[in-house]
Amino acid sequence: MSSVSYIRRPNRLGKLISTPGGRKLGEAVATAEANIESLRPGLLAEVDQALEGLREAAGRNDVASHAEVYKRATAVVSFAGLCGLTRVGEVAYNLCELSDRYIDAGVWNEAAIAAHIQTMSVLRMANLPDDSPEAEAVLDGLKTLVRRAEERAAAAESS
Amino acid sequence: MSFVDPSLANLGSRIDLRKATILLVEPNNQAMDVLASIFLGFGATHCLKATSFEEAQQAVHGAPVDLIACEATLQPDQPDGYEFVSWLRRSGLEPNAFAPVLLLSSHTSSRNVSRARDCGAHFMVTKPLAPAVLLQRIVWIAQHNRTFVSCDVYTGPDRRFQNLGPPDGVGRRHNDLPAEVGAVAGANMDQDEIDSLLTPKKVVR
Repeated sequence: MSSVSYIRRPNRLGKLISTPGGRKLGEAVATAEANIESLRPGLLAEVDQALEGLREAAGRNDVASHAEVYKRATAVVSFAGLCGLTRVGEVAYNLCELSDRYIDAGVWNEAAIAAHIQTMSVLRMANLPDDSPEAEAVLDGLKTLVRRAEERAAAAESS
Repeated sequence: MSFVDPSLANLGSRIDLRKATILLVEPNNQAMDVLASIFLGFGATHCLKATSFEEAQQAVHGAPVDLIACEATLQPDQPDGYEFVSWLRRSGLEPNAFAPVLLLSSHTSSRNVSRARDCGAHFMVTKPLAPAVLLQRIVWIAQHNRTFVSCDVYTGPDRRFQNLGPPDGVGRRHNDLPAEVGAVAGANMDQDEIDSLLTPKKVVR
C-alpha cells in the first residue's frame, strides 16, 4: 500500500497580495481590460494569420496537417474573443473539439473541417453582431457536426 | 482540504501584487503580451517570462515564485504545460514546488481539464483570458491555502476541496449504505438511559 503525506505550506501569495494598499478589484480588472484593448490590432492580425494557416493546413491531408489544424484553431480561440470576434472564437472552439475527436479516432472529414474554416472567414469579414440570427443558425449547424462526431466515436467505442 | 485564512477575510476588495513574483509561461509572443498586460493591470511589477519548458524549468530554479500562469500547450516536440507542472510538483524545489499554478488553455475538453487536475495545477483557466475570471481565481487561491498531497501517483494541491457528497447521490463502494434512511429499528432511548451512558461514574474495584 502506498503512503500518502499531507504537507502544509505558508500562504505566501495570500500574505503578499493582502498587504495594505494595492488596487481595488474593479480597478484592477478595468486596467487589465484597457491594456488588452491597446493590443487589439496585433490580436486581429494574429487571428487573420491563424485563419490563413488553417486554410493552408486544411488544403493538405496528412497527419501533420491535422495537428496543425488543431493548433491553429486553438490560436483563433485564444485571440478572437479578445478583439470582439466572439462568434469566430466559438466556431474555432468547435473546430478544436471536432479535430481533436477526429485525430483521436483516426478519421478526418475534410468537408466538415472546411465548413468551419469558411464559416470563420465569413464571420470575420461580415462582422455580424454576436446575437444575429444568421450567426446563431450557422453555429447551431456546426455544433450538430460535432455532436455527430461524438456519437460516432461513442458508437465505435462501444462496439 | 483548504482553509480560509481569517487574516485574509478582507481580500475581497483590494489586491496588491507589487511584491509578488509571477512566472508567465507562454510560447506565443502575442499571447505573452496579453498575459503580461493583464498582470500589469492587476498591479504586478515583477513578472518572469518563459517561452518553453526548459526556460520555465530554469526560472523555477531561481528566486521564489509566488504564482505561475502557464499555457498548457508549449513548443512542439517538447513536454507541455501539464508535464511542466507535474515535474515541478515532484522537483523538490523549495518553495517553488508548492507555488500556486494556473494552467491556461484554449481547449478545455474534459480530458484536458482532467490532465490539469491530475498534474497538480490549482486551476485551469480557459482562453480567451478574461481579466475578471483570472483575478477571481487568484483571489480564491490566495484565500484558500490548499494542503498539498504527495503519494505515488499524485503530488499537488488536495483535489478534494469541495464536499459534493457521493457521486450522483450513490455511494461508490459496493458496501456503502443507501442514501435513504430506513425504518426505525427500535424505540428511542429515554433520558435516563442516555444519561447512564454519558455520565461518568466512579467505578468501585
